[in-house]
Amino acid sequence: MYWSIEQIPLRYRALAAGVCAYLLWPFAHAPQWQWQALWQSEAETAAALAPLMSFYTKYGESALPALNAQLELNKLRDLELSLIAANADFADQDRDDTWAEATEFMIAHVAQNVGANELRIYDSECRNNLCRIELAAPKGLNPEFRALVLKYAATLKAGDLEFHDLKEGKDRIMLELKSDKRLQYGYFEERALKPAAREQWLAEVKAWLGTQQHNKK
Amino acid sequence: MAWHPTTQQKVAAGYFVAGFCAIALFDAAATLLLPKPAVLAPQPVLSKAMSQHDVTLEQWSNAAERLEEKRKLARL
Repeated sequence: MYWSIEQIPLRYRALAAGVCAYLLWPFAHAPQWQWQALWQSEAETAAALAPLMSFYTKYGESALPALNAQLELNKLRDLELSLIAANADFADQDRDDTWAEATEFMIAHVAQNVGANELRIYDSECRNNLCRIELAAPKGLNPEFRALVLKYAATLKAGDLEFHDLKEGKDRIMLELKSDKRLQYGYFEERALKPAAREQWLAEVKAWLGTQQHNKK
Repeated sequence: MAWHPTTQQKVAAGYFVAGFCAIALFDAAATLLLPKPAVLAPQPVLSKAMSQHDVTLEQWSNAAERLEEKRKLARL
């Protein structure tokens, strides 16, 4: 016997849809900090708010626009940190084609020139800021080969690829390298990270800092 | 021929609106009745500004600390 949504009376489905419509309305709910006051003691909330209260006491209402702007900028920073964490592993990354193709070319080129063509690359793949190189190591990671790999890694480091991980296989080693380039995200993530109001938030913080400088003089 | 809703569809639309309004009323009551930290009580302007952001108390303090750091850096 199959269950179908039709078995729920239409009026209850409509009621649930109305409730969901409201809950999905993004501006309609009590702020999190107010709920937090429910489960935290007065002492805990006072401790959590101490830096904010001392800041507000010091600068007053004139600092509120800058404070709002900084809060929004912090939200953006938190979002970027969560995206960086979500892209921490090679398997989680999408490919940034331009960078990946150029870097794969460089990896192959450097391998030919280090140690008089002694390094054999089985496979190399770059994604967003990580590259994986499979190097042939028929005799394992012996001292000569280790020296060669270190020389290879040092040469790649000059090209902005830092050593990240090394895994030893049966007849090969897997070298993982990381670039400090900015990660490339999808269309929606990029839009979320750079909203139109961002420039205004930066300007508000800058304006307040300018006022502070002026007051000092 | 013009479309006319059936009685069942009109009742369903009524329930949709009722569901929306019921949860909106509950939410408005929650916003009004939820406690505010005592330390905010003497600062109505600050707590009003805070109610515009759905973040934690710690995130508010982090923003204040970051701004203070920026001010110190700007003074150097």
